[in-house]
Amino acid sequence: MRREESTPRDGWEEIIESQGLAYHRSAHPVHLTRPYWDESVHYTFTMREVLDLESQVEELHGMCLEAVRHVIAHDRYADFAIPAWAVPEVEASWRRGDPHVYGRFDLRYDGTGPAKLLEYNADTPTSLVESSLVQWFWLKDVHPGGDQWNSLHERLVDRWKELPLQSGPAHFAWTNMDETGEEVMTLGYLQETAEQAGLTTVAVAMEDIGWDSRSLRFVDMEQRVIRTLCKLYPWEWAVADPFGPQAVRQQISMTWIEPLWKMLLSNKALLAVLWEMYPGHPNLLPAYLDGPRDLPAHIVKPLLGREGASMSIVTPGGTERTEGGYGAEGYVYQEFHALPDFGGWRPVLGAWVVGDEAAGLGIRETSGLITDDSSSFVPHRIIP
Amino acid sequence: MADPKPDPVLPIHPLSQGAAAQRGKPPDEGWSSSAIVLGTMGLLSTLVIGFCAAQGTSADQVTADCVDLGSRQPDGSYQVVDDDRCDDDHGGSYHGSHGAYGWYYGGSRAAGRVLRGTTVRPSDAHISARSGTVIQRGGFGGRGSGGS
Repeated sequence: MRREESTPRDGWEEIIESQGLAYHRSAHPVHLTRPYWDESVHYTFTMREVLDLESQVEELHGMCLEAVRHVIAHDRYADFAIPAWAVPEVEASWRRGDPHVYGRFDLRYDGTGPAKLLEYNADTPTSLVESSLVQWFWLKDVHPGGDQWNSLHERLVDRWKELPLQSGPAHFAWTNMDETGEEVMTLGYLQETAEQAGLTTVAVAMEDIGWDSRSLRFVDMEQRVIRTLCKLYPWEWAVADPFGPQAVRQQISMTWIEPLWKMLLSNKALLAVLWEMYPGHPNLLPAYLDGPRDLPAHIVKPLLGREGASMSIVTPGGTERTEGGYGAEGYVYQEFHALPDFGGWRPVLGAWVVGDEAAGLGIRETSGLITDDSSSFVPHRIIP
Repeated sequence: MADPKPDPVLPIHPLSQGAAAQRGKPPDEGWSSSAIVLGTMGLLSTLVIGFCAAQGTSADQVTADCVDLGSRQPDGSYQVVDDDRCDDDHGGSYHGSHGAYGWYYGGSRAAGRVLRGTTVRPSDAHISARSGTVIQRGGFGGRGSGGS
């Protein structure tokens, strides 16, 4: 794993916008001098490294599915702040095998040792457009014969094809609250992959979804019953919304992507459960729910925080905090390993899973120790 | 009486204007690792960029409630009534037993009453009634963007 400088393509901004990265300005804090998409650098990996990472990702995903079984078998819902009334439906969703499409592991990796799991964005992962499309076209333009750890597009299309969906259009729901365009573009892209798989799709705003109290079904603006709903709206929000009880109760009659049982993965309590189940596993860092125990340096993460908010790094040298209003649901305490330093920047690897297979890589860099909304996305390639 | 329908000069959300319906079918050759079909990503991207730019310059979304204008309490709140009462096709706004019904814009609603709004229609805003009879809407959302 190396970080290399490269010359950006002439007109790169127009190029990436035409490929779907509409939000590279709007989703990025304006005071930063570095753009969100930064092709003046990229990472290179050997095929050996990629194959190693791929098997580590698939092993982690398998361990996570075991963790879901474990949480259900041992009634650990309180550790995940799942409301008791929703528990039977979370369990039923898992037992039925409600289908899942994708997720993204965030990993600490420096090219020398094993990757370490930082979190699993298993419910509402983003940076999909740049991972699947934009860096792929960058590779084709800049290194035409080159290779990349990236089969996201074809795997997403294949995944939609194999899902057991009811008839009627699949609905893709964005929220009106997204002012950057990131959510719209991500859902637009997912919708595109579903269309390429032969599905009929419809876009709807979460805010516009209606509840028909006579037929007990969700409906769109044209009163069509919603049988498949793909959302980027976190389950913990949907469950707490006025329609939460209906959404949870109707799981059996419709397909939500991602499914309700992913509440047990897209929650950082997972890190502690994994460490209990697989203590000392090379891809895990020690993590606990009841406090930092004997960890000399640790990071405190809210169970349901987003974009690196509300975290604290506690080391013998002092404490560093990020802003945020998360944490009422509880925290996990994980051993702190600083992200590796490559030329003054710290990459975090976003390793994608589609279905149950590793499907690609997206890298974000920050100058600080926590990857937040100031991070930049940089492409990568595999070198022979 | 003022009409609560959306003002057509304001930006329409790219996904709400049928971008999905404009999507082309994938070409027969399908996809291989050397040829991703972009489909309508470019078109959608252009719409989103334009939408985000327009949002920055336009007024907020304003919600309209149909209220009984004769029900004003000392705290300034009004009783909310069925949207039908304010619809133009119900023969104007002056009917009912004790006064007029009218649209009340941008108010905060609680327990069937609404306050801190205005009966003056904002000139530069996207206005929508809360509405809904058998079908309830608005039970999801309002929390921000949820990607991670």
